[in-house]
Parts: sequence; C-alpha cells; structure tokens
Amino acid sequence: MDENNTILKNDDSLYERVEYDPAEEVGEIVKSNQLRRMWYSYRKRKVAVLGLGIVIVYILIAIFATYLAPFDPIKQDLGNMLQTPGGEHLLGTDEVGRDLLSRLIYGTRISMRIGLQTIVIGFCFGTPLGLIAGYFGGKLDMLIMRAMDVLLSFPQMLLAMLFTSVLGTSLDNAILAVGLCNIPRFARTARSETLTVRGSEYIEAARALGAKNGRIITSHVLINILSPLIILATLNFGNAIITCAGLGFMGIGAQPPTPEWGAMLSNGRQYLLIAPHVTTITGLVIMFLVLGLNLMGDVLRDVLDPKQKD
Amino acid sequence: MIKYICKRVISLLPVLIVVSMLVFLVVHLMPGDPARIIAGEMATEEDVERIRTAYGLDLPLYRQYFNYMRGVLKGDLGTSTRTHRAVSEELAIRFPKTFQLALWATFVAAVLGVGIGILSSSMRYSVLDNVVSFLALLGLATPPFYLGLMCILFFCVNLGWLPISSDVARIALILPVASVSARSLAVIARMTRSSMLEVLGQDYIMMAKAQGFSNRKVVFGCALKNAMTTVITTIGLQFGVLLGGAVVTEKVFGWPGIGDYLVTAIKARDFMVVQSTVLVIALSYVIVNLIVDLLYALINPKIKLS
Repeated sequence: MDENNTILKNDDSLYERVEYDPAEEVGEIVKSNQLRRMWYSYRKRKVAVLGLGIVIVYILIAIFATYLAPFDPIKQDLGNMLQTPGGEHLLGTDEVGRDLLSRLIYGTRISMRIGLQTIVIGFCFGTPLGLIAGYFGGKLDMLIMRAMDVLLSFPQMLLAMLFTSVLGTSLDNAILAVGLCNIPRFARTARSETLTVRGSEYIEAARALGAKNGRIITSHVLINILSPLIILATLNFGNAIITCAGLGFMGIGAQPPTPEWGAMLSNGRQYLLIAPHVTTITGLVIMFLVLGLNLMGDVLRDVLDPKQKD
Repeated sequence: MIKYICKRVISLLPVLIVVSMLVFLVVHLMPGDPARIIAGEMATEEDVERIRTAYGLDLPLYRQYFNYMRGVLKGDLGTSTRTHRAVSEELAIRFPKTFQLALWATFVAAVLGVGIGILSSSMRYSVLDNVVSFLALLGLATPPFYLGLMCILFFCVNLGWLPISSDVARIALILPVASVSARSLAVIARMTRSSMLEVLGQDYIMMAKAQGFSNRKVVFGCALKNAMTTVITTIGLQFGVLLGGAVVTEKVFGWPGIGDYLVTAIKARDFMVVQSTVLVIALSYVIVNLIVDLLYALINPKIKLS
C-alpha cells in the first residue's frame, strides 16, 4: 500500500485525463459492463446446461450399457483386427478385433464407478476426520491434520502407485488407492469450513438448547458445510478418472481384457501408427466426460459458493 | 530471512521422518514373504531362512526401519530383489531424467500460465479471454499421456517435424514437456486469472485507476505482486502433479525416467525399489515445496512476522 502511494505522488501525468467529460465515459463503461455481465451469466447458464447434459449422457450410457453396446466388449474376433471406423463396426475394432464402440460403452460404466467410489471413499473417511478436527480443535485437530499433511506431501499419482504396490494390480485396488488419496483433500476442506461455521450463532443456540456435540456436528455443522464438499467432489470426480486411467495406462490399474479407458489407450498406443483411431477416439471420450464434469463443477462453485466468485 | 529459512528447514525434518516411516510401513504391508521373493521359486526352506537373516528381515520392524534409514543417510537405498542391482545406482541415472522433465514442465506451466492468466484477466470477457477460458477447460480435461500420444501422432507422424524417439536430440524435449505441462498450465492460468481479477476489484486499484494510471502500470505495478501470492503456492503444488504426470507420460515417449522402473518393480513386488523410489520422489517434492515457500516469504513479508 505504501508503495502505491509513493508511486502516485511521483507521477506527473496525474491530471491528464480530466480534459473531457468523465461522466459520459463512465456511463458508457457501466452500460457495456452490465450488458457483458448479463451475457456472461446467461452464457454461464448455458455452459452449466452443457456440462450437465454431457454428464447425463454418460450416466445414461453407463446405465444402459448392456442394451446400447452392439457387440460383446470382451469377445475377440481375430479376423476383424484393427478395422477403421465405419461399416459393421461403427468405431472400428482394436488389435484383437473387439468392437471399439462396445468397449467404450462398457468403459463408461467402469469410469463412472471409478469416479463414484473414489469420491465415496474420500468423503466417508475424509469428512468425519475434518469435522472432528475442526469442531473439537486442540491436540486431536493437530494430530489429524498432521497425518493428512503427511499424505499430502506425496504427489497424488505416486501415493496411488505406492498403495497399488501393496494392494496388488487390479481395477478395484486402483480405485481404493485413488480413493485413499482423496481422504486428505476432503478432510482439509471439511476442517476449514467447520472452523468458519463453528463460532456461528445457530451453533451456539443449539448448544444452549442442550444439543450434544454429536447432534450439533451431524445436523448443524455437516449440513452447512456440504456445498464446498459437493464442489470438491464434482471437481475430483474427473480427476479420479484421469488418475485411474493413468494407472491403467501404466499397466498397474485395470487388467486386460477389462474395457477400462486407460488400459485401452495403453493397448492402442502400440498400434498408434497403423490404427490411430483406437487411441484418438478413446482419449476423446475421456476428455469429454472430464470436460462435462469440470463445467458442472465450475458452475456449481459459482452457484453454491458466492464467496469464491471471480 | 536467514532465521526464517533455518526455521523452515528444521520444521521439515519431522515431516521427512514421518514420510519415510509411512513409506516403509506401507511397503512392509505388501503381501508375500520378501525373503522368499528374493530367494526365488526354487529355493529350499534353509536358503530362505539364510536370506532372511542375511537381509535382516528377521529383525523386528523398527530395527529394520533404523537399518534402512541408516543406509539411506549413507546413500545406500538397498538392493533390488529382482535384478540384485543397487537401487541408488539405478535411481542416479533415472531420477534426474524424471526430475528434469517435471521441472521443465513446471517452468513452462508457470511462465505461460501466469502470462496467459494476466493477459486474460486484463481483457476480461473479451474474445481472447473466452478462448483462453475454453482452452484451459479443455486442457484440464486432457490426460497428459493422451496429449502425448496425440502430439506424436500429429507432429511426428502427420507433419514429420520432430523425431519420434527421444534419445539425444534436445528438440525432443519439447513434446514431453508440452504434454506433461498442459494440465498444470491450465490450472495456473485459471488461478492467475481469478486471483488477478480479485485484486483488480480492490479499492486501491480503483484509486490508482481513478488517478489516471495506465492499465499496464496498474496491472504490473500494483496488482501483480499481490495476486502472485496464491499463484505461487499453486505452482508448488502443481510440481507434485507434474512429477506424477511425468512418471505416466514417460512411457509414451520412451523417456528413460523412473516410470518404467517403478511399474516393473510394483508388478514384481520388488519392495526395496518401490520403497526407495517413492521415498526419493516424496523427498524431492517436499524440498521443492520448501523452496516455493521461501520464495513466497520473499515476496510476502507478512509471512516472516508470524
């Protein structure tokens, strides 16, 4: 602040702009700003619908995978290897003649499971830890948060790899590993939100009415800190899908022949030069889902958490 | 400042100790008897027992931990149970490669991300701002290894501009760095934009503008330094994401880093390799974040007082 003032004092060009009528200019700026803002919030709403739409399409595909998939996602057909899109196989086939479209459709189911389960693990363990730490404070708070800090001092991918090395390489273990990595994030958010809520008057009122700590935490604190946790969950959903796909890509996540997108990318990589469609399409499918989730998360943040509005 | 640095470095020690304990413990929860893995399928009971005593695997866990840490402090990271080669030898070649990739990616993501974020925030709601926001969202949704594959497909195969394999040619660093950094670039650009917008909405900026300062002076003279505080923390955290991204993306480019080494070790349950590799990576991450914290203190004097 001090620095700014000195800059102001030393500047000679201070009164240059007062030559014309400032009111007119200001009026115009305000008007165009308002228009732009309206357009912006309108567009925001459209973006929200777009994000939600994308996610709903994926959810529907995941639910009705068995009806939508034209072929068996696992059955090999060596006579039809690496066919290009079009014809009988709409999106072509992979290196052992499996229908790519069917594999992608079943993969949607797997990715939805990855997202949901990792979030559930993170939420179910992280939130209570954060609530307890924030609500009771003191030594317990310090203990819990130090433990969370230790988990956060690993790059997430590496922590997930460390856990898979213990659990063994499979899809379920990859999900468990990524879910465990989510715990400190939920704990942190829950704790910091609890701290802001803890001193509120309605908490005091509840206490004055004789509510026990357990009741206050579940029916007053938790309810009021849910929205930032929901935002965190939405934004982490896509992140978890990308991390799990990474594990699958490295061969330490889902194992063949599971139609998991990361593992499919890994297979497609070997045929990148002769059959680029396998990799290209699979990656686009991941991108669109994560894009939809992020769009939704962004808008949710604006709607649920006006504090963080840009 | 020196006092602050000392304080931070000392406060790092307990974190490092707990991190090493965690890695050690988690790895020792691995199913399977390490002595039997080392001895191999054909070994007799006697051989397994001999190996157990030779490697100190019969000692209680805390003794094993102390033995291991004593070795680590001397630079001995144990021996691979699969190849019987020293882990430190292997890591000495491979880790710098991964670190280099992650560091370059952090550098690119930080410089471009902050630059683009500033540009985007100073032209709020313009076409450029919209394009940047859209690209950032797209970047955020792209797995780094997929971007790497697409880069190879486009630049190496379709256009034939760059060599596919990344042996010596320095130019080949471009594609790995670009694909690893893209997601973090998006994160940093978004962060810079929103934090700049927040600062630009403050009263003292309004004041400076009202007094007729040029836009450039307001942005670079008053707003940037204040907006940077949150961004710098983000950059430090992104380094971890980029380390992870580098490990995954290495496979795409045949980059001779730790990715392949670690994955093979995980599959073969080569516990010493997993333990030491993860420890080294966590260490580098913690140290980079310490440096970031110190930088943060450098531009934000308030930190030092508390």
